[in-house]
Amino acid sequence: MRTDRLSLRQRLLLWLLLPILLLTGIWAWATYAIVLHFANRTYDWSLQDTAQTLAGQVRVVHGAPEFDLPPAAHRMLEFDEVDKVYFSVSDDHGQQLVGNRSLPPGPARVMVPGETRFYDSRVDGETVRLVEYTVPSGVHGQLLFVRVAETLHKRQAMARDALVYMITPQLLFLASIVLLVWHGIGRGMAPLSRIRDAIARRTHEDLSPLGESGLPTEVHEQVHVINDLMARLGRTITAQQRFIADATHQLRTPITVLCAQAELALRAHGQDELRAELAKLNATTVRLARLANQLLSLSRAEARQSGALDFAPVDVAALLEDVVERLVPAALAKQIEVSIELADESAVYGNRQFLSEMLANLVDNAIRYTPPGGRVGVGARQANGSVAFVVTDNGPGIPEPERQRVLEPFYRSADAGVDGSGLGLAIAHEIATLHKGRITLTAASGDSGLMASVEIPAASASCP
Amino acid sequence: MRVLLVEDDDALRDTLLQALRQAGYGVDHVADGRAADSALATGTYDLAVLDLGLPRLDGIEVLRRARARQDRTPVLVLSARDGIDERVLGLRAGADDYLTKPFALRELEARVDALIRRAAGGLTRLSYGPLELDLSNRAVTIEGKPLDLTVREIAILEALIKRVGKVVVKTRLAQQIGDWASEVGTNTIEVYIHRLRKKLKPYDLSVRTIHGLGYMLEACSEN
Repeated sequence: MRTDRLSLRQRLLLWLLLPILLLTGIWAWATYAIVLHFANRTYDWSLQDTAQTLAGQVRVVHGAPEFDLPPAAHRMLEFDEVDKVYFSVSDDHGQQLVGNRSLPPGPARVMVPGETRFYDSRVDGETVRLVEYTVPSGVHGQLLFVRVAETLHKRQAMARDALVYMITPQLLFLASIVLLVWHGIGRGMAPLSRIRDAIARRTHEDLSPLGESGLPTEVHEQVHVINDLMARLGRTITAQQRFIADATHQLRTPITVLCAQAELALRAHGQDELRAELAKLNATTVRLARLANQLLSLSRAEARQSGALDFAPVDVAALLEDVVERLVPAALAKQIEVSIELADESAVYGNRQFLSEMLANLVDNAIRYTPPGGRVGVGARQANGSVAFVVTDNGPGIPEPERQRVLEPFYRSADAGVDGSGLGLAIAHEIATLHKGRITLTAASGDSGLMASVEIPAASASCP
Repeated sequence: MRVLLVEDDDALRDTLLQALRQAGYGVDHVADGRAADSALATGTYDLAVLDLGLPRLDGIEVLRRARARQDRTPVLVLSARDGIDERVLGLRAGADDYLTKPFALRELEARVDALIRRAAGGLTRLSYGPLELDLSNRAVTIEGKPLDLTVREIAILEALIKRVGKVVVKTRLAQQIGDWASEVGTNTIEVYIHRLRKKLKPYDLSVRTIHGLGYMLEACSEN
């Protein structure tokens, strides 16, 4: 049986009942042995009494010991309902003076008068208990050996009775123990069952904490940890739901524009009017596509906050050139001058795709909010084991009180004046956090323009 | 009919502006809540189309302030939030109608027409002699046959029919059919009146000039 598949109740029963059974067995056996010992001693004593009574019948007549046992006494001696009793009195030459059977001498005979020996032997193929009593014969230097033997039937019957009388309460005791342990485990594990039922009854939307009162300490800790996890889960789900609500909200306006423009296009008279309407329609689809992509980037970056990411050293110069190259056409269209400034060779430890996306959003933002003819600067410099990416523009900038809020998804400054999704900076912020970096927004010069700076740990610092 | 359009999304504002102007309304437009608030406080509008998610001042707040000023301008609320709570909130704040984005342009136009009609006393058509103006589709018929008029001409005719027998002040007429972008001067009004007269003449209808004041629609035979 594999123990890892056993229930907790089964484990507890296994660990409690097996030792209890074993100990009860040992205890019963020991008690039985003690009872037998004392019972046998009582029988032995009565055997000894008989031997001593027999010894009292020895008389010395004419210098030789004589044994006077009247027939009545003889019968009484032999009389026993259950067992056969044998006796013999013999001198130290082995010459039997009286007796109903020749009995074997005790082991290691001791020639001390008054000494008693108990021993087991066999008579007529049956096991017997013997006592040997040594007495002086009355004749100088001569000893007599009085032996009485008894079959074991009484003793065996007694042992059987003792066993039966002991085993019955022991079994009752054991049964009670099993029931009590079973019941006790059930009672002890009741909180676990309550929690199981409480969880089973829940709908998938119910993430409220489980009741923590009235629980044993061990379970209390478990439940507390589960509640903690559910709370975190709840916060994540709430954040995701808010994100989805915000995202759909964000999508509704451009979709409305799309519908309205399509309707206007259908009403258009003539080729030129139709072309003009279709051009607007096209611009709206581009805007929608960009919004959808940004939503995707943001949710991807947010999802990765908890998961693992492939990080590798990324060459800063190549990264910047790649990003700027892609955005130059947009800048040129607005007659914005874009410049790259690199202090020295450096690399950061991160995910190239995400970093590229982060920079693209910052540069795109700068181009978007800078009026035609403006300037956008992109650069990177090393400082204190990290690389700071800096994007500056000479657009209107962001007022100090709003600089933190614009990093939140969907937040748009009231003075933005340009159609943006309110996602660009949020994406950059999310990716910066993903790289254990942080984004700071300041005025580029004096109180105008914006300088977005993102510090990311350098490759050598975080990748030993 | 003069409409105030409040929408912060440039593309949507431009599109709605175009649609409402094509429908013959004089449309003023603003992009934030504060501008909407001051436009409503200073101007006279037959209807306001109000987006709720506005910068500077929330649309609901714009609505509350207008109602607090006893401004009874019909307001059609546009919102990207479609929850029942949101709609109730908008209607309770004083909106006359609520449209959830995305919506069809035709629905917006129909609701705008309906709101204006309701404000005018629930009329769907105006008539004077052989002349009939259907307010639901803004079509003019005379003796049962359609009369070809531009949207501006229809707007002027509507103002005149509504006050038959009374003088329609010229400056008020200019205000009603114009908007900020295309401020209609009194000279322009005279041009429209002149064109109207020519088109109505075969049916014995005329627009009389009350010098220094305005115009009146009347039948020639009565003259």
